[in-house]
Formats: sequence, C-alpha cells, structure tokens
Amino acid sequence: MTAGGRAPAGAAPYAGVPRGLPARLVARARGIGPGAWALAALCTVLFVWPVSMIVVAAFHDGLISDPGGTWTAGPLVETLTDPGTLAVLGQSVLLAGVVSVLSMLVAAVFAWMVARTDVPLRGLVTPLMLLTMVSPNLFFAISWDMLGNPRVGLINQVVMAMTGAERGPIDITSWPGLIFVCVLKAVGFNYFLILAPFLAMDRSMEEASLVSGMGKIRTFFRVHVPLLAPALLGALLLAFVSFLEAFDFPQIIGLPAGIRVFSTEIYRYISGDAGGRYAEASSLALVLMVIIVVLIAVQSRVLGRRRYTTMSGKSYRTERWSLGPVRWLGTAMIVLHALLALVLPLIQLYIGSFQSFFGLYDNWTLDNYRRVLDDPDTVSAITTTFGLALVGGFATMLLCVVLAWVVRTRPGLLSRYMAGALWVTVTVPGIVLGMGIMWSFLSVPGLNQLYATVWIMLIGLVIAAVPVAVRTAEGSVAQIPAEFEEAARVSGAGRVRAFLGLILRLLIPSFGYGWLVAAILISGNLAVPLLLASPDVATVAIEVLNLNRSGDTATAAALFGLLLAVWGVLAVLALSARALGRRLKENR
Amino acid sequence: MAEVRITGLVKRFGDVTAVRDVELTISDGEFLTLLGPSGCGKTTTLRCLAGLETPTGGEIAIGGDTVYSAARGLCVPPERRRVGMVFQSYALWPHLTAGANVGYPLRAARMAAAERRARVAEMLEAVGLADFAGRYPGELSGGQQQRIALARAMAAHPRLMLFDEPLSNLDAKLRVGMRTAIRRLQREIGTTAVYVTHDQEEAMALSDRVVVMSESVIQQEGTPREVYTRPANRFVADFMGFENIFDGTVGEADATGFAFHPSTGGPPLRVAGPPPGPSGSAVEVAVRAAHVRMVPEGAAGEEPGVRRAVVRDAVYLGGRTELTVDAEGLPITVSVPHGHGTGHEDDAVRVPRAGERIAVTLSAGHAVVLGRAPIPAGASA
Repeated sequence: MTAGGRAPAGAAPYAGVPRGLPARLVARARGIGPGAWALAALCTVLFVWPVSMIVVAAFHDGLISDPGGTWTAGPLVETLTDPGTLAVLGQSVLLAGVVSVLSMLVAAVFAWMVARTDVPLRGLVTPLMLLTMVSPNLFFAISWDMLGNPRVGLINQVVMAMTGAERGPIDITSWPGLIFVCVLKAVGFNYFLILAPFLAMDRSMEEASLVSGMGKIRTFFRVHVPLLAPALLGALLLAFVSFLEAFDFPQIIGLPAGIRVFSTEIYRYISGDAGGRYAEASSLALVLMVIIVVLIAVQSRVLGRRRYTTMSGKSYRTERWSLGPVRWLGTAMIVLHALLALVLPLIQLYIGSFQSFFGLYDNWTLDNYRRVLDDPDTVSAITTTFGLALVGGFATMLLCVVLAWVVRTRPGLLSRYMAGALWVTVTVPGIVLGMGIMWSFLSVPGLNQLYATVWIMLIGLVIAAVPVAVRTAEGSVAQIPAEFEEAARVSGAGRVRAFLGLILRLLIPSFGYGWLVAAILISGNLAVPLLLASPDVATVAIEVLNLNRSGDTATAAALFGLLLAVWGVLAVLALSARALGRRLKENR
Repeated sequence: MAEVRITGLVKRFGDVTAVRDVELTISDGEFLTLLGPSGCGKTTTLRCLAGLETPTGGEIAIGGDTVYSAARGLCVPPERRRVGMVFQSYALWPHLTAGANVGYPLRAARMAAAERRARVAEMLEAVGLADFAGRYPGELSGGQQQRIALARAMAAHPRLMLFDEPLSNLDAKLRVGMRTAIRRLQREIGTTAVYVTHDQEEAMALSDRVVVMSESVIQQEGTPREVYTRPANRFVADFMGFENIFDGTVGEADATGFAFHPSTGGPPLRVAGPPPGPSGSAVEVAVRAAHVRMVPEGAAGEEPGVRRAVVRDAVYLGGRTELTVDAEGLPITVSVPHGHGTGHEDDAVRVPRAGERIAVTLSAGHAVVLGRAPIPAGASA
C-alpha cells in the first residue's frame, strides 16, 4: 500500500547500476555468509568475466589465446572510423526502431482490448501472445522464410493460383519482410511488458478527468497517455535493445536482401567470409554494448525522475467499454494475428517438411524425416539439444530463483553487485556472449580444454537464458513474503534449509513453468551455439541453419518440425500433469 | 437552481440490481448524505448522478436539465454535467502538480490562463495548501492529497458536488478537520452536495438530510436527529447503533403510552406514545443502551415496566460501563455513565459487577416503535 514499503523484487536488477555509500555498505557486508560470497563469485565468472573479455579482446590483435598477438587500439580505431560501421549502425537502428515502434503500437491495442473492452475472443489474446513469446526466433525466421518465398511460398502460391501471375507479390527477404517478421515476434514480447500497467491503471483517474469536464478524447491525451507513457517508453526501449542485437532474423531473412546489422556483421568477422578478424568483431561488439548501456542508463534516468505510484484504494468495479460493431474489428485483428504468427507458419513448416523438394506440391514424402533420423549427426544434434535444454533450463531457473531471492531478501553491497551482474547479461547480445565466453575460456589454461565441448555450450546457453528466466523467477519469488523465511528461521531452520525446504517447495509450480520456458529458449537459441559449437557438438538450431543455407529447406523444416513437435508434446504433458494434480488435490 | 431530482432510478448489473426505484429530491444548496453499509447501492446512485454509470431505468435532472432519461433514451456524459466529484482513492493524477490538478477542470472549461491561476491560488488557499502548488501528489501526505482532491472538485464551482467516501482512507483526527473544511467550502460556494459514507457520525456531522440505504433501496430519510432518534425500521435502528431491539406484542394502552410484552415472556415494559395497533398485535421496539435506566431493586414488581435483572457481564469503556443483563429472561444491554464522564474510580457512580442483582426499566419516551422495512418492488414476497 505505501510506496516506501518493501520494494517489489520485479524491478530490482534493472533498477540501475548499483551505487551507494561504500562505507555503509562495507559495514553491512561484514555480516554476509560464505554462501553469498560464493554466489557473488559465480556471478562474476558467469556474467562479468565474459563481458570484460570482449573489452579486452577489442585491444588484442589475433586470438586472445595466441601468445604471438599484440596489444593495439588499431582495430578499434579502424572499426570506429570505417564508413561500413556507420552503415551497419544505421541499418541496425532502422530495424530496431521501426520494429519496436510498430510492435509496441500493435501490442498496446491488444493490451487495451484485453484490459478494457468487450471484444469477442479477447480471451485468446494472452495464450496467443504467450505462445509467440516462447516460440524460438528461429521458428518465425525459418517458417516465414518459406511462407514468404516469392515463387513457392504458401501465401504466394494461393495468390498466384487466384491471379494466374508468374510471381507472388510477397518477397520476405526484403526490408518490409524482415520488419514484418520481427514485429510478429516482438508483439508477443511487448504485450507482456505493457499488459500489467494497462490492467493496473486506476479507473478513477480517467473518471476524475471526465467529471472535471474533459471529454473522452481530451482525457485520452491528458490522462491516459502521460500515465502510461513511462511503462510504454520502458517497454519500447527494451524492445529496441533486443532488436538492435537481433541475430536470427537478420541472418536468415535479412542477409539475402543485403541487410547488415551488428550481430550478423560480428558473426561475419569471426567465421563468415571475413572470418578470423577477432579484434574487429570485438570492437563492433563493444560499440553495440556501449549503445545498449547508454540506452538503458537513459531509460532509468528518465523513468526515475517522477514517481508514478498508483494510489491505492478500493477501486470501483466498472463495466468494460462496449465498442458496438467496432468490436468485430478487434476480433478480426486477433484472428489475423493468430493466423500470421502461429497458424500459417506452422502449416507451412509442416507442409514443407513433407515435400520431396521445398516448393514441389505434388510429391509428398517422409524422406525428409527419414534423412533426419538416419543421419547420426542430426540425431546427435537432437539429443544434445534436449539434454542441453533440460539440464540448462533447470540450472538457469535454479540460479535465477536463488539470485532473485537473495537480491530481494538481503539488501547490501553483495546483492547489489549480483543485481548489477544480472543486469549485465541484458546488455549482451547472444553472438557477443558466445564470443566473450570463447575468449574467457580460451585465455585460461586448463579451462581451455573445455573449448569445443558440450559444457562450454551449456554455460553459454544458461547465461543467454538468464535475462528472461530471471523475470519469471522474480515474479514468482515476489509472491512469497519474506516473512515465510523469517518464520522458518525463528522456528529453528537454517538459512539454506529454510530456502531449500520451504521457499523452493513453494516455488515448484512456477519453477516448473520457468524451467519449460528456459528450456525452449535454450533449444531455439542460434547465436550462442553458433560460436561455441564444433563438428562434434552441434545443436538442432545450427543444423537447421546449415540445412537452410545449403538450400535443403525441406529437411530443415522436418528437423525443426520434430523439435517443435517434441516441445508441443512435452507442454501438453506438463499441462495435463498439472491439471491432474489439481484435481487430485481437490478430491482429497 | 441546482435542484436534483431523481425519479424511479434503477441500475442493474447483469442479474444483480444495485439500485431499485430510488426517488429523491435534493433542494438547491442542500447537503444530503447517502448512508449505508457497503453494497447497499449508495455509491452506484452517486455514480449515476455523475454520469459514470448509465442507469437501467428512471430519470435524473440536475438544475432543471434532464441528464438521464430512460424513456427519452437520453444520457448526458459526465463531462457535460458540470458536477464536481471527490473520489475515495483521491484519483489525483500523479503526472500533474497539485496546482495543475486543481486547475484541470478550469482548463477543461477553457478558462483564461490568468483567471485560472487566480482561481487555483484561491482554491489552494481555501484548503490551506497555498504553498504546495508545485508539489506532485506523490510528495503529499494522505490528508494533503485529500484536500487537493477537494479543491480540484470545487475549482470550477460545479452546481453539484459529489463525495464518494472521501474520508475513509484518513485517520480519525484528520477526518474531523476535513469534515469542517468540506462543509465550509460547500456553504461558501453554495453548491448542492451529495455525500456517500458508511460512517453514521460523519453523516450526522455533515448533513442537512440523511438518506439511509440498504439492499438497493432507501430505508429512511430525514434530518440527522430524526434518523438517529427515530429509526423507521429494524435495519435503520441496528445500523444507527441501537443496542436493544425487542420483538413482542402490544398490551394495555393508556393516555401516555402502552405496555409492551416482549416475546420472551415476563412482566411488560412501558413504551410512550400511541400503540401501533390493537392489543395483541406484533410490534418491534428499539432502545439505546443509554436509555435503559437502573432503578432501586425494590421497585421491581411495584412500579409498572420495571424488571429484575442479573448482571452477566460488565465492560469498562472509559466514559461508561456497558452491562449485559438478564432481565427475567430478556437479554438487555445497559449503559451506565460514570460521574463527570472522567472514568476515575473515585468519582464513579457505583457500577454493579457481574453477578449482582439489579432492576431496570426503559425510559419510555426514548423507546422507538419500529415500522416494517420497505419491501423492494419486484422482490419476491
């Protein structure tokens, strides 16, 4: 109720860079146990060190592990002054800017429909957005790459059949195509960022304005817009950052159209046609990270100034806005979004996977699946992927829950440091992260033995999943009052025992959900494995990319279709297990 | 000028009827309170007046203009009703300063900037926050926020002021101060006011007239004194704090009153005034604990209307002690004031303790004969 109460944990790691009075914090830090120190050390190794290595590597000519390399600022200066860098910057900003603004507008309309209106089918929006959010980027990239193929894509086929034209009107490998696919994905992400503020807005704010004599339109601009602006701006900036560092979409859809952005360029410097230019790759990564840090700093600065505490008080239950016939327009939007984001891509993916050659509509076959399952490389990629996803997903959630709990319940220097370290992961794009991990492991004798093993990939994927998983963890941790732990400790349980025996048990349902999300995220990650994989250790995502690059689209579709099918079955199993558990509980 | 006329007002939410056939005329400049427990329909009635809720049936006119009419399919939106409203949650806009909040209705009315500034200063002065114009709501205390909300609602000199439990989030001391401020401002501006609360003390302190609501209908309307001393039915008596409500029958009547036979049996009690019906008819009687008198024990059986009683429980409440007694089978709550109301042992009237034998009688003039609660139209019998 009061603004000065216990701060909601949800905001903690992103609240800003840790700062404060060192003397007071050091004094406080004396009471911290060895467990917290170990946790802080783990944060350093996982989050801080790889990022530092990017900075270091930018000043090092050649591979970081190469003793013959020299220290120089040359590549950095060269990168900064290269007109090519400016072009990359321009294209990246264009992509991120357009995508974030468009997706925010669409997401805001959806959130408003769900929160305020009587649009039929609005109940479908949240599950739809959830599915779009958890579906891997690679899914949208691959399936829309097929769907929007000018000659053989499903949509163009239909249009061609109807008009008799030689070529379909849609070419996905273009600026509009790339932006369109990115927006589809981004809407799901943004929707969840802004739904809460839409739901939480005190209705009496607008009622007070109406009674004051302002009409609905003036009320919208004078009350709704300024009140929601902080939340919308914050979400907009986050979307901007995440598409500034996008990799999968530009790599698969953008490159054929000659669109070059930061992540694809960094990858090109490492292992593309300009491969081996590590210092340049690091320099470009450095530029990108500086931009992201500045953006996030600006955001916390802008949002930090005014305090938009929603006044509490009994809010009067009010009816939804009745939109009249316009509401069917909303329903149409929902159906259209479902079609474009999920239904059509899925249909295309599976149709493609049964074609002997992608685009041949008369020769249905199971050969693609046979090829996938007969090839020991793809089979090993599938088992590796699921192993990584399940183990990595568990490790990620465990790490995030423990960190979220510690950060929330033990204020002080160390937990501020941990929050800061978590915050670092947000600023690091996947491709940069892969690079940082590569550098940090290669530079330490002993650890460099891990290079090209599945373990280094596991570590990389866990770190990459942390920014999303930590939000889930914070959300679930925030629902458990700190008093629970205090009560357990007063009753004689130790700190660790209280956490493991009580808090973690209470978290099991949301932990399971977070585990699933993190696992799906890991299994669909392309950027991190791309740099850390070896001929012996590959994942489904890498195999799909390789198949797609070599033109074997149908096999790529079969492989990815298998991955999705397994996740679909697992998700259904998990849901029915939960439903069964609930029923058993009720019957007891 | 700003007389408010509510005729046959009905508001249904789906299957639930929140307001049923409310008829109310509020004269110009009157301060009227809708009093009742939560869910009684008082806030819905207020919101229908503001235009925030579209009624299901009936008619509302403010200052002669019909703002809602089911028959004519007319519903004037809130922004064109020229009313002011103070919300329970204050509803101050956090992105505007206190001054900008107060100036908002003036801006809506497109008042010139200079005039607006002067009016804002005047309003802030009136609520004692002249120096706070530049503060944001988040930087104000709860009481200050409430006063800004009051200033905002009155800034445009609305013809009708609506208050939706504005003081329920304040602590007791602040409430008394705010009450005075609300009443003073309402008189100065000369506006009509409708005030919603569940606090009977607040209702009595503020109002010219109190309307008690329950179960979506009006139970009683009258001056604070009428409602407090002469509740119309069992619900109002209970809500206004009558500790004793007895069921029974009418007995012998004479010029000053009648004998009341409680349904628990035993000798009759005396109630002043004419009997509500012939001898033997059913009646309900309500008496405040303060109006049950202790009499010398010997009076029992000698004087009419006196009963023997045994003290079951005595609770010390500072200025008085509340006794629960068993008066020959009838449980009665009796309030015994302490001398000078100071509550000290030495100046106390001797208060009986639990287990002691006493005798009690009703002050006949203060016993209230209750009528039937109105049966809501449309409700099944």
